[in-house]
Amino acid sequence: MALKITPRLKAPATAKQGEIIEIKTIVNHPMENGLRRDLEGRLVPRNILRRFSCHYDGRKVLDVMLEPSIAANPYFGFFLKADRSGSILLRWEDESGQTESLEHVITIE
Amino acid sequence: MAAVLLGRKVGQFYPMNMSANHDGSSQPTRRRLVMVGGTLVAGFAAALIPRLSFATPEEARRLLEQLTAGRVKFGKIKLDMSSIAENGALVPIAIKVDHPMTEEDYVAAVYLIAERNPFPSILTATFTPLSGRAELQTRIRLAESQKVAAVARLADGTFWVAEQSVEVTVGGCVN
Repeated sequence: MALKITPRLKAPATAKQGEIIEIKTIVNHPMENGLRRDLEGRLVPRNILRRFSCHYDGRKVLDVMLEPSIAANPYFGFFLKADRSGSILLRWEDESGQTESLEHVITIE
Repeated sequence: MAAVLLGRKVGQFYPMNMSANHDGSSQPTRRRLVMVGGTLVAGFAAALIPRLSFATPEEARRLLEQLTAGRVKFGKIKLDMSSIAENGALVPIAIKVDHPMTEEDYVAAVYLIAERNPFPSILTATFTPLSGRAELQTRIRLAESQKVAAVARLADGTFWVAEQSVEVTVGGCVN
């Protein structure tokens, strides 16, 4: 069962061999740090994304462990060296272990 | 011992009792500190930051002594962020490490720490040579005006740090 979040990404569809491309991604998630109170004064329970990872053709590119001090709707901009046509897989994981993924295909021209 | 401490991932969220409170009790303080994050903060903080968010300054000094073996140096890593944060709930940052990303020599990880946040460890990012560049942009929360530090760990085991003082107009952790 996947998280009910909608990740978006911006990355080029094509690249030259060896080109370093930029990937930007954002996902809607409240990143409740467990310290906030709601209008009734009750503590809103902690609910955060724990991990963001990027794999490229099955190989790890980036792995980020997130803590409550990451802002809501986590945004990441990072880089990747395009060495082959293939699939870039982004994955978000929350504390309960549920994940959501987004795939982007890149073609070397 | 410093090597063991630094080997642990900052992202593992273990509360650490920083021992004595002002009244002498040993109850865990409200500020739970990730162990490595705490030692890293102590490590560079004692050198860079006059006041620390620990129970006592002596503890911070002790942690610094445990941690240092000259392992953390200024340089290589750059922390791009504004010195004034109008909204502490949404503070854009960019981490850049000026170092090659080859198979043998690359930036293995970057740690981001906010010394006065309720949870000082913000993120741990691991890179690979496939990253091309050891750079990461994101947005963080800052509870109050404080120093933020970024620490890079290279594949050869050396650590590099950069810090930025930020004035936070409206705190972002409990609003």
